[in-house]
Amino acid sequence: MTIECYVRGAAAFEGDARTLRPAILPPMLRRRTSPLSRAVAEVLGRLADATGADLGRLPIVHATSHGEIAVTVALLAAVLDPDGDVSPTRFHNSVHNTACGYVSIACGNRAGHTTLAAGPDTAAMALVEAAARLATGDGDVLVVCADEPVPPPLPPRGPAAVTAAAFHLAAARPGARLVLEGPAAPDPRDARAGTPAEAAAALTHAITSRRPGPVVLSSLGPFDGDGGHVYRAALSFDPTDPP
Amino acid sequence: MGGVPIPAMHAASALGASLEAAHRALFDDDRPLGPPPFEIPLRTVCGVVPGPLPAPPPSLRAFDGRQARIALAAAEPLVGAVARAATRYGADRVGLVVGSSTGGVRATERALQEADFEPPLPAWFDYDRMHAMHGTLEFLRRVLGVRGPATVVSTACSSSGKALGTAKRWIEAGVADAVVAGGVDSLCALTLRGFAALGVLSGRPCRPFSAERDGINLGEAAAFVLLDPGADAPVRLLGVGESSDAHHMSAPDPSGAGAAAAMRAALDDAGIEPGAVGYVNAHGTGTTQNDDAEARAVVEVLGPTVPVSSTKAKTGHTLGAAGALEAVLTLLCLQDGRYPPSLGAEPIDGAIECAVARAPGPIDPPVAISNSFAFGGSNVAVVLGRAP
Repeated sequence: MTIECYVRGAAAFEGDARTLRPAILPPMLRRRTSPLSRAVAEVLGRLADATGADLGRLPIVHATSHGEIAVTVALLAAVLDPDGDVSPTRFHNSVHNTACGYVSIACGNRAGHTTLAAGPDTAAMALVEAAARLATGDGDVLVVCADEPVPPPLPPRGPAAVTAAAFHLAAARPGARLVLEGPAAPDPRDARAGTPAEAAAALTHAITSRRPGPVVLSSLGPFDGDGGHVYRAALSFDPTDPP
Repeated sequence: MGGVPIPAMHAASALGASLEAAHRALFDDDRPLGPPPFEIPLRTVCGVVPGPLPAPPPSLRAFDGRQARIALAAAEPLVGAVARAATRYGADRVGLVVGSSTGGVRATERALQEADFEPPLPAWFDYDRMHAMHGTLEFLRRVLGVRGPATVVSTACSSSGKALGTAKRWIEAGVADAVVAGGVDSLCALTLRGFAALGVLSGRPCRPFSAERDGINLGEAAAFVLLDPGADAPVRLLGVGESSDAHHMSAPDPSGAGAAAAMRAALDDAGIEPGAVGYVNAHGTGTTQNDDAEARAVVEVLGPTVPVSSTKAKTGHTLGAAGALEAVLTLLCLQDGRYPPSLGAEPIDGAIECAVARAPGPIDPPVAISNSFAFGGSNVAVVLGRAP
């Protein structure tokens, strides 16, 4: 498969998301959100500042490998205790599409969102889905990839700190040209990120520093021992485009 | 007729793992709902996939669990059709899109209970293969022999309806030449106790659209279709429409505006007028709020006469699998030409203004819409049709 799109802009966050106060989330909604959801709102807000993307109108392709796993583990402690007090808010905050649900409410966005999960290919599939929307639809598309550390007692997975990356994609120039390719056989020389959110963040850095070249979108994964495959992106810049 | 032909489909639900039996059951008065398949301090009934469930082959045993077995029961019958598509287009030109809301979280529940929440978790437990979305995805890739682009869509109760949308889009954009699309969710304590905490879990068999309805029943299911533009098949996926309510995380917009927008977008995608729709397979959960808002939206978009029924009184609400399961049930009805009655709806709520089906009738014209609405205000409508 080969499909291409153009990147109007990108933004990333990596770190302690507990104290984030995303400009797009009113305090009443912010208080109900997890650090992961706040990081999603934060990078979408920064992206909109950078490109003028209309968060109230553009469809959002959201991708997260483990989803709201910290909320889920906390919820399970209550759920598995016969006398446990199960919080309805925590329950509806445990779904994979929690973050874009809150963003759609905060921004009055009725355009529709989707949330994808594809393990090591999570970032790749988000970009492929967005490119497919651009090819079949009639407007720009936002992509946001985010994950948080999987908490104990589950095995350690995900990034070491909350990581989120957002992209404003369009069907035509201006913007960096992104050609998505895969699935292909892995190459030992591939520089693969540890998690899909980190792969997305690496793509963000390549875009904002206008560094052309190949980017491996698939991160290392639990099924690599069985052969596996990778998705890659070729990134190029037109010198006549504004930075 | 446009759209994408569906040459193969299958489903496993409370109605069993035979399409013929499931289709027949839609037209009888039995309520195949029973107690949850594990101990839980709740008074409710569920749509449980009847056993015995198929065990994965030895090479896939590390993925084994209720989630994998239900997925296998619905996916295995598609293996031959997928292989034929892979031969025609090339193995990496066949894609896979799976809707799921909880993945195999039931395995994690069992592991946490067994370990009393302290590491180490039991040796049998494998987070990546049994719980995570990528475990369900990898299991199905290997069962089906799919080598092309593959993803899970996880937007709670609209997951597998949206999976059909992504699959159709991938074909139209050239991402894949054929796509297996569907969904799977298995019963777990998290959703049972979560919906109980929201106050919407009924202690009795649910009664969508009835004046006496008092909430939902949960269910488990898997359902898959093969979308293959090069195949010859009498039934087709005609269109998919999506919208967001932008209203509330867990309650629908009472105006029905989001639901109506999804239905309109689906009709646009299919390139048909509202008058071309002969049946609505409703989201129809049995909560006061959902059924009111959905009925309002149906009347607004399609008018007050198109017949509407919910099949959730038969299967329970199968969450992330609901969109695909109800698409398959609707396709069976389109093949046969008749819509099923909305079981348990009598006496129909006077506030419901759409035409809730009291008895079976002809799907005329032979086009149906199936709705799914979810947490986060995430809506999808799927248009299905039979060639005249």
